[in-house]
Amino acid sequence: MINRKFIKIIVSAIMLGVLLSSCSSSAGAASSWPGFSISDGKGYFAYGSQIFALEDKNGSLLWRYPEEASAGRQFYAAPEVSGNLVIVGDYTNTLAALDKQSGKEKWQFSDADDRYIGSALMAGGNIYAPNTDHYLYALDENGDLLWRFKAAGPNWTKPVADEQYLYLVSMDHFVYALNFEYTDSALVADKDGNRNLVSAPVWSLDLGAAVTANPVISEGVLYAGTIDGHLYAIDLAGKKIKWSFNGDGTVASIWGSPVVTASAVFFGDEDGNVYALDKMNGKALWDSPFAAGSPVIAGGVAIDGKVAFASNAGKIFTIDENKDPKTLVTLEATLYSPLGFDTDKILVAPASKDKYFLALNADGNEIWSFYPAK
Amino acid sequence: MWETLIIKPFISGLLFIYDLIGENFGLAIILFTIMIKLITHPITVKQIKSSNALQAMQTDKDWIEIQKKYKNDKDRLAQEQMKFYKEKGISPFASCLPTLIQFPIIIGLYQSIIQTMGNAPLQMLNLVSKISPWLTNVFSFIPGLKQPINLIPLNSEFLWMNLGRPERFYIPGISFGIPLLAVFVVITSFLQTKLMSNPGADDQSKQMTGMMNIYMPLLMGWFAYSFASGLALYFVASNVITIIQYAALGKLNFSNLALKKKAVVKK
Repeated sequence: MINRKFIKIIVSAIMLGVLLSSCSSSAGAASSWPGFSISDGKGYFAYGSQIFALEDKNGSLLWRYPEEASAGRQFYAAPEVSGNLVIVGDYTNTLAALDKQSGKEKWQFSDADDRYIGSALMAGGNIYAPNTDHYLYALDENGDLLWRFKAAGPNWTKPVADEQYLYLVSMDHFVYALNFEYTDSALVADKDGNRNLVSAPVWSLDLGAAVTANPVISEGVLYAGTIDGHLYAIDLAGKKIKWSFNGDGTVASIWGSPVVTASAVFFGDEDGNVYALDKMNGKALWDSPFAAGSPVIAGGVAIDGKVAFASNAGKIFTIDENKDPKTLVTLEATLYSPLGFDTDKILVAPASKDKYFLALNADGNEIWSFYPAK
Repeated sequence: MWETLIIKPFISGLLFIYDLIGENFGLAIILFTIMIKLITHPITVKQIKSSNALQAMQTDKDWIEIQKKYKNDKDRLAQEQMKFYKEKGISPFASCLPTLIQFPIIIGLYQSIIQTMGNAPLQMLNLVSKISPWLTNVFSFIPGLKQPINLIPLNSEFLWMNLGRPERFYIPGISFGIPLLAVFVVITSFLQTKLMSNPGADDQSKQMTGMMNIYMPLLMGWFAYSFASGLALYFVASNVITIIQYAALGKLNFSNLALKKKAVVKK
């Protein structure tokens, strides 16, 4: 009898142990990949509990924010850099504006209810910050709320803009066109009576599936990839889909932003295939996609007429409209973050145990790497 | 293997139910838990029967005699115990084996629930790679079914909760949120362990049962307080369904809920 009880207690303990490990891993470990942006020869990297500003030429640390890391705040959205501000959003509902030179905090906005996964956009002196609480928040440069728009789902992508409208591509499957500014009379009251809510977008378009990667605008066309494996080209003036491509159902989930060149659009998918399409009609440029060998989650970057991509298995390679793939280097790291390019350097964020960020030359040789000192 | 046999089919099942009932993830969790309990019901019945047989053995005159006879010879007692099991047709592992069979199902169930609620990029990437349209294809004759990938992101609103985040219930006039679901988890876990436990034959056994009755509900409550409320909803649903299941089989010990006075030992 005692043995039976003992076995039951052991089984229960194992169950709870597995439960604990499975829950704690989702709570404590990294839940996303690093985000970064490049501006004026400096890289601004968000990973884990801090933002790091690094000198692009040698990887030296300029500043970090917050100075003392705390487990309570986690940063993964690529910082938005404009003027003298760096806008960073964290996983505890807070958006902060930092001084670009010193990294000192200028203000915080804490009205959101959920995490910032997508980067904010600064345009016309205002800040447009997407949040997973379904809202897009429009703030002035002092961090005061101007208006907000509610989508039907979380917002993971950075808004994009042309001269006329601001565009939000949401996880709720829709592309929304919004004005940059709204008069008080154009806004409606929320449930708390605050008159700051946009009642309806200027126009919207259903893409049928969630979009997790930042869209790209080029020559009046918005390009966005969905997790059901469609790449859409949306004619913004016509407010309609210009073309879409899914390779007759063979394209897997698209997680990285497409790269638009003079005449082509490149993108990778979860099955590890890289596609090149004619920008005008969405026809495949190659007979078959290029197989990278492992999932291509990271977005690519255009470099001197070629496009560089990274596969999950650490392979960084270039490819062009004639295919002609060339492997630059294979890192011992899993790569999810989009690649960056600054003058003559490819910036990579492997977030591995010994290298958070590194810079490679055009031949794939390491120029510098950065790992934060404790 | 684990992913293929357990997690992927469970995630497919959850998403299929979610789609079928009009994209309500809270109801999908409850219905899926009921479905799994129904599928594993024969195993539960077998476990209860075996457990009862072992329980009855403790009061069997022959067994009590054997225990008395060989109380100083443990090797012989073990031999006689095995002989007794054989004579009475009792399998000592029959009560543990069903638990071990249910174990991966229970683990798989809550792992699939956690993974389906993924609301960060790495979690979502993990979820998307496990979504398969096979169940939707099998039931393609049902009108209005969506491809499971197009159900993402799931609607995580259920009653007053966001199932992807820890639950708090806000009452007007009170500045802090009350973890109502965590309280339900503690109560239902306590009722479940209390009502389903058999009175132990000896002090050591009683002590173990008593500890389980206190620490398990508190631990489950702490999980419910700290982690996504979808998981807490599963705990409550699972506890309530298990209590109903045992009640239907007439195996609840309501006497365990009665307050017992401590025996006064007169010298």
